[in-house]
Amino acid sequence: MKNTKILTVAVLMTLGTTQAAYAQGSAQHFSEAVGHSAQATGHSIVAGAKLASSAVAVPLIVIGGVGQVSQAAGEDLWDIANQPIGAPLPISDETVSVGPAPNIAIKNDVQDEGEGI
Amino acid sequence: MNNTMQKIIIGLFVFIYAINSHAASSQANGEVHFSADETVKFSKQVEKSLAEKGARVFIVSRVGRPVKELPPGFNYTHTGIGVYSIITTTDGKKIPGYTMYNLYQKNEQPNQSELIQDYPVDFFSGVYKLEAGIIIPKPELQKRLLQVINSDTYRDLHNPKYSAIANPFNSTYQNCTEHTLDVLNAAIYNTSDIELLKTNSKEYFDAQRVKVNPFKMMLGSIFSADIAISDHDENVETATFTTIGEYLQEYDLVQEQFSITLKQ
Repeated sequence: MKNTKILTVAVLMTLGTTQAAYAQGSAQHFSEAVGHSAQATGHSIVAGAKLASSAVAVPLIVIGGVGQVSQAAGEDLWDIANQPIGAPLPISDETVSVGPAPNIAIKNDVQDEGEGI
Repeated sequence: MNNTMQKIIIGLFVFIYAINSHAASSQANGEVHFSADETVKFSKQVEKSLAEKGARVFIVSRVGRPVKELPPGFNYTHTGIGVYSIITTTDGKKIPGYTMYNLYQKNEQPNQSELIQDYPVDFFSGVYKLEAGIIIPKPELQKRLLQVINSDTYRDLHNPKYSAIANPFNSTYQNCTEHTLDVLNAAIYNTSDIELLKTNSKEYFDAQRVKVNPFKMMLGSIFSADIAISDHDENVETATFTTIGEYLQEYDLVQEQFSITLKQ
């Protein structure tokens, strides 16, 4: 009888924990399903592709002073910036990606420095 | 302990195991569905398609999870704004292409968000399906969106308190689609007054009702930091790419709306 009680308590405790885990899993699933904004997991996914890293990007258009492109950027880009909206635009064949996150970048720098010593 | 008791206990443990297995399989993070080449090819296809149409600014969305896992009415999982830009690479080259303006949930703090600029290949990395939802606004709205994006208003409209099902009619929480809607309305109404923007949203914008089992919703709000229901009344409603498209279509602010899938 004593054994049966202990077993029952143990099983109920396990069930309680499991239900909580199940609830959390279910909730997490719901959260992921409706979560519009989770950052793409995938900078590593495209790591195998040949990508250029971007330092900075600014809108390429001049409308009433908006847009930071100047004639100094080059005649071609200046012309593109001044084209009316709807006119076909050139796109580089190069694929650009953001650089690694600062915490990763700083580790890379340290590693490089270490290799140089 | 007799045989019957042993069978009951074994049965209970089998039941527990089955529940645990189900719980584990319901979490599917970080799966890779496409090769790097496919993602790069698709991203370039999206860019070229938009550039051919002369889009300076567009609303873009992606499919991060299987649609069958999403609540009814949800077709996309993240929405941002694409802007035709001059991109300076780290080696000093200046090249024309699109930049994506996003509100992203923080990975370490899922109930917080930040504004991040990235590029099409980053935007479509890790998607479940190579499909982009696109809305190209009318030229006048594109011009005004650029003015907002280049002003302090774009950042001022960001509320870092994140809920995946944020109510777009108040400022308690915000998700990516609500921020996009606020930016659109700031451009349309030429104001950064958030109270005025919310008043106009209530009047003219129809949000998507989140049709999820109330029990599941309650569990979500208890166990997931990024699910809040305290900002909602009786019905839970949120902004989506689809409802933003319907809103802009209704008021004749769309130049073109379509989706892009990978050309084989």
